[in-house]
Amino acid sequence: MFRMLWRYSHLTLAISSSFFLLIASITGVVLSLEPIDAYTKPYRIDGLQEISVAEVLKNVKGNYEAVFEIEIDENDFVVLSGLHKNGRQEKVYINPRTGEVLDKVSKRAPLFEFTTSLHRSLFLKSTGRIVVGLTSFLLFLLVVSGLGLLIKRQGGWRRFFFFKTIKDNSHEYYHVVFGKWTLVPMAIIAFSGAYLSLEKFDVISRETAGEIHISQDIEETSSPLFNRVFLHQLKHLEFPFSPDEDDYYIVSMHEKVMHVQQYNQTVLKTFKNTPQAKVSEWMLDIHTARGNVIWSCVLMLSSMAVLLFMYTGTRIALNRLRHSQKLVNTSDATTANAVVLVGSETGSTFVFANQLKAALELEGHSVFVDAMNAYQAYPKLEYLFVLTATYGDGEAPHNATKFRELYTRNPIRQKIHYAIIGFGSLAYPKYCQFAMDVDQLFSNHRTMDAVLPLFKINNKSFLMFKLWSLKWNGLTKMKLELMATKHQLPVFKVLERTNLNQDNTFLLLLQPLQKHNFQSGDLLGILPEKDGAERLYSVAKIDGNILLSIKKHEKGTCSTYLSNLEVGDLLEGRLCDNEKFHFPKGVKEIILIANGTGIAPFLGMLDENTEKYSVDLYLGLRDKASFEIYYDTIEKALQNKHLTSVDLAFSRSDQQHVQDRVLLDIDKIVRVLQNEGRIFVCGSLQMKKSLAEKLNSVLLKKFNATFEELERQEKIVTDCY
Amino acid sequence: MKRQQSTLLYVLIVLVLSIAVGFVKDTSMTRFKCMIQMQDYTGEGAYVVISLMNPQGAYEKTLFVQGDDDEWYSYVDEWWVFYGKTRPSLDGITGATLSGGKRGVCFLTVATEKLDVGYTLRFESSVEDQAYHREDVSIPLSSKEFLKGPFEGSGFIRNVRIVPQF
Repeated sequence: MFRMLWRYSHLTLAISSSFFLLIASITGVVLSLEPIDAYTKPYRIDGLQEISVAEVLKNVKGNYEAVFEIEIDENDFVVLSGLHKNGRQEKVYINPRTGEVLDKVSKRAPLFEFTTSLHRSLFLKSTGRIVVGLTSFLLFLLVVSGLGLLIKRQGGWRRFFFFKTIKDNSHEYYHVVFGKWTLVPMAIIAFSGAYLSLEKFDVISRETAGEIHISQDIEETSSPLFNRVFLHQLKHLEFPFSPDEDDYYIVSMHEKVMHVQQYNQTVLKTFKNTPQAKVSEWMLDIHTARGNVIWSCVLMLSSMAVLLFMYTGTRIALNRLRHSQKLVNTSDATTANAVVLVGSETGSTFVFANQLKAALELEGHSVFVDAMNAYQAYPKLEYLFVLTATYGDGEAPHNATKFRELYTRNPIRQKIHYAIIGFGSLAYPKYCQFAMDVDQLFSNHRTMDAVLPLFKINNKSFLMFKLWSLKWNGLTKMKLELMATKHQLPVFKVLERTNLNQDNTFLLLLQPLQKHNFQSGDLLGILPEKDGAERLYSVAKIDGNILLSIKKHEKGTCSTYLSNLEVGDLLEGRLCDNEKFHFPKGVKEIILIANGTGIAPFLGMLDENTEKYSVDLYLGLRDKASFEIYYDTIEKALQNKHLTSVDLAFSRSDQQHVQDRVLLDIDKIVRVLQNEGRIFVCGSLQMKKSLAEKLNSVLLKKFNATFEELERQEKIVTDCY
Repeated sequence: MKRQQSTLLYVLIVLVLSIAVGFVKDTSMTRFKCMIQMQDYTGEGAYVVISLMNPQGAYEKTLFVQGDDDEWYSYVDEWWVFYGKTRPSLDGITGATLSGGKRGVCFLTVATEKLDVGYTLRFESSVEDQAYHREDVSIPLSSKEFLKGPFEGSGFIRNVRIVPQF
């Protein structure tokens, strides 16, 4: 309940502040460029602590009829305003060591002026300021409620920062990870922004002149004051208005302001800056990042993060809304014989529930999916599936909090079969705890038959879900076929794997566990564990299954992973269409050229040659023994005339490459091309390159086109790697 | 010969004229240094506009504007009626707004002939969300008068001092 309160506050805050937060964050990004822009200007003075006020006064004296003020700004630029000898009143950057003018102080860039106004008051003057101040405060509350939710989600304080969030590319993942990173700077931005707004409205005083105290100690020292005050201590120095004895210098330093007699430099009065004044300065510093490039970059990233939060947050909220409201049930609680109860925090478990529902419906069941909190009596119930996640430290997800109570009050008394699937992450100590609780709750009821023991799925793995379905199918008469969504990878089952031959090559026969339209020549993308790079394999389709020919590389993560698969294992893969490399229809003469594992797609293509057109295969391998694993398939194809001839080249025993053998039959190549036939090449890029070189002179003579040009005309089709 | 004479005469006239003009220019304008000391009020910085008013009490010229964001100029009501119509350039005669307790120094340049003949300097002040003072301070344009300063303000300005700048 408490969690719901947090979540609703977080959402309500986000929605109510969204519009102004959007403006504030976009303008915030722009404004964070200003300190960076200032940083690139060449007016910075190094070693301010070595330059005394007296030295500056001496240096600027000659050039000016009168000086009003010297200011050291937050970028360590020294700014002088005064009346120049030429009669112009000016404000300039100077080099205090020489008195030389570096540049005129130009008006603030209109972009920043405009953006500041928008950022601060939305061009609505005071009303705008109130709105922005309020938005800032809401942002602060958002950060606080976000922190509360984060702690809950991570399962406690201690696990909050040290514990890694499991990467799953969901909107929630980014929301959480960016939340962890930008929590602190965002709280600072929000708090300082709110503070500055309050100050504008005099809610917080920013009285600068503190208590006056006449100083005595300074008189004691002998050297004049301005020899002892250095520029790094100084904020600004206002000059005496006239030569009148009563006019004095006003020296504003970081902690105090002094009035200094203009002739003997005695301190007339000292005002200490109040703590509020310091806090106020500090708030302005951290909110604007003035004079601090690194901090301005942090602020910029945080402002950008706000935009990201808005996007991901919207998506999370919409997802949750969609999953909880748009349950498309064709049956209802009173008629369904199969019920799927879902406990989900983010809504992602509903994806699995819907897959299960679709598969059950294909099997002819009437299925009803609902949240666990909506548990009720199901008069026709035969099969019950509970799919549930766990929240934070072993708690029920938000839509399952009342389940235990509801169930205990009204338990199932019919004879039914059930299965519980827990979804969670192994990174949490209380992995699938809530599913275990439900399992415990059900286990006391004799009428209920657990078909399978509690099944746990780590990190939303579709493969594991598929594995569960296979187990379920094995123990019931059902043939559930779970279909992967477009965000999930389809699952394949290993039917056969040959041992490595002396070339470290093996064949792998895979069965797709869901319907696929594919052809030989298509590609299967496999993401091995622990490796981010996907490997693509050219597939042969044999009796609806996938045959891969794979060479195991010493350091190849993917080929090693595949070579360790056992019959019956499951693996995920992505089938991609590779239309240009499909076996052509109605082409009467075809030449296939391959080396090594490049033979794979051809093994399947031969199956498609039901018209028994002329197909000649040139195959390059290391030696005779390499051919063994392909022998049966090739032999069979020759017998049923799917293959016309085979020409083998052995690189080790005969020192001959497949391209050499092809060159010997150059007349045939020319004839096939002349007769609108097709040439397919599959294998290493090196082979393709060498083949092209060897054929080019003849091809140019006969067709006035190179290998590459014929490739572009799709008379030669290649798939090399 | 005659031709040569006339050329010489011509050169002479140009020379005399240019010196005269230069001389006249030098003394036709008088410059004053002006300091505005603000009251200890809280809130936003004040926009302070210093205008030259003719003997009939009408605006003649804008001498200085403390506050350089023209978004807020229309809040200096009376001056805006005068200035807002044509909005001539204020280049070189603007400064920053003046917050409570602060002081601002600027130069005012006026035609010498307008001294002591009934012209006045008007100081208008306006603070966002607080108030507008159409005549915070008003000072007769006269070197002798200026010596009588400081001139007390009735609004955000505590006082104004003006001294000649040579």
